[in-house]
Amino acid sequence: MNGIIIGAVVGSPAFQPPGAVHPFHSPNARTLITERPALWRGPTVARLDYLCRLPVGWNGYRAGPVSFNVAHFALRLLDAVCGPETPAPSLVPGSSGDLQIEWHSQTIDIELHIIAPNVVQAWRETPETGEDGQEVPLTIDFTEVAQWIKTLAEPSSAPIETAA
Amino acid sequence: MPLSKPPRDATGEVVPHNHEGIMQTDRIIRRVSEEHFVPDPKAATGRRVSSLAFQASTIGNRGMSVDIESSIVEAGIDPTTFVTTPQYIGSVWFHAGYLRSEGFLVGYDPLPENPHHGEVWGNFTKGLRKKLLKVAQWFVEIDNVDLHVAS
Amino acid sequence: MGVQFDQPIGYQEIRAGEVWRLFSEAFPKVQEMPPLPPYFETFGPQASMINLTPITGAIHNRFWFVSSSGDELIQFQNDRILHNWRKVNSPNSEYPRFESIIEKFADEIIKLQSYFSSLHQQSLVVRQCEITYVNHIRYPNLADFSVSNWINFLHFTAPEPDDFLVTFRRTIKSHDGKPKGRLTCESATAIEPDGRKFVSLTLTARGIPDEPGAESALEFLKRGRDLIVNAFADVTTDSAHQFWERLE
Repeated sequence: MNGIIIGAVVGSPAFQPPGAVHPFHSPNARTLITERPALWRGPTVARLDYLCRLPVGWNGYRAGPVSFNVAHFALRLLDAVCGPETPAPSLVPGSSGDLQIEWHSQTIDIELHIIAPNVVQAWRETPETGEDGQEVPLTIDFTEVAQWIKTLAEPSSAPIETAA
Repeated sequence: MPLSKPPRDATGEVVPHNHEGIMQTDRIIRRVSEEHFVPDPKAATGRRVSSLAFQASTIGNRGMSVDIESSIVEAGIDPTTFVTTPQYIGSVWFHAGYLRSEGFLVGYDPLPENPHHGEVWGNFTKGLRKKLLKVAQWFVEIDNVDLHVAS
Repeated sequence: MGVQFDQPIGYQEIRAGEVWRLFSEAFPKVQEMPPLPPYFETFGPQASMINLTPITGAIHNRFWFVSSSGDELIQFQNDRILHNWRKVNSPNSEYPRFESIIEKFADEIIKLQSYFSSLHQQSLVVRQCEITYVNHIRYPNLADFSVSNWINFLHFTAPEPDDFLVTFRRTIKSHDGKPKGRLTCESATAIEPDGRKFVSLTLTARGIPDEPGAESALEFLKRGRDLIVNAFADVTTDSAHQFWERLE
């Protein structure tokens, strides 16, 4: 949990600016929970909000909005795998309340299809996997996906920054 | 000739079928919303269509909604106008024969709001969805979005 | 204890009264509350215990169906059902045994599933289960209170803190070693309505059932309960155990 610090209140708390932390033994230590802002989070939350409000028929047929629970699950998934510097993903609505999270770079494509909470088809294509890619069904453990995402940060594979 | 009524189950829901009135050379149109467009540096325009543009619904009769061009033409309507109404939206097309050669069923499922509505049923694996992306041709093209992206 | 499920096809909030009628004989009182947001345990190198998901959507109320005595309540919303027990100020108020609790909850889930099936042929699709035990540690003598006499993972040097809030989590694993959920232990100081201080110790087992059906969900709750009982014994001190045994 980089950037998150939890302390205990000892004595009388005094106001401290955000991000300041005092050790336990200080008489004026204050409970602070701070988290480094993740660049991807703001645009992603905004996009998820938007997708949850799509009108029925947005795809020209009968598709409804992204399910509220799928959107929440998507954010929890991203919270588990994205670092502060991870580029914001693209978020594509499905026709049944589902959602696909995507990153595309010059050398890597990653697509996480959230069919429902706990039901995720993760797929990636790299020079090593070839055109067919590598597909992995996942439920709640996204450690492997986090490894895939790390490779996005490598200079040769940097994706275009997206407005999601 | 208008398409004959499709087979239905006891609840009135259309069941997956290959409609004999939909010829192999008939064009099957799939609308593609701008919500399906994603940035990709490999795309000449910088944007591509997501693979999720081609997927079956997980509810109802679990097909991928499409419009049947021959049915629209039979009704005396301009297909381009039809698939861009009520909202202006992009679309692509496939021959019904191609879809069937990939193992899909192509059937007729008229709806109150869309009497020329059809369904494509089958196993929309990731590989097949990507293949559909490669084969699809614009019916109503959207500027600055690539259908085909070099891997 | 509770389960979180996919919103059933055909259910709209206007039908909440029909759901209440399933339980109204034993739970005749109704209150409306703001909804509980979805909660999912996920795992990855950045997994945080902070569940900030500020996504807004259609607002569905949460309904409390409360028993006549007030010691039991069912919480219902479009994607959740929970059953809570609380001790009320009554000499006869005793926590029921877990076995009778889980039997009641199983019955409630079955009734709810039958109802949803009447709207559309479907089963309840359970995505998350949770069971929580909330313990209030009320110490006999405030003057010489030390939290480390009660909770063995907290040791403060003098002076004793005015208040604290501590959380730790452990992964719940399936038989093949994959994460299935978390056991969360939270302890904090709190204040009674009459101003007396106490320490709350809350243990929650939350995670995904092996299969998304009711039976599997109940199995998870049973396992969760066992994990909580063991964790409670683990995090509380021997002297606390002795004190509680004397009370019994």
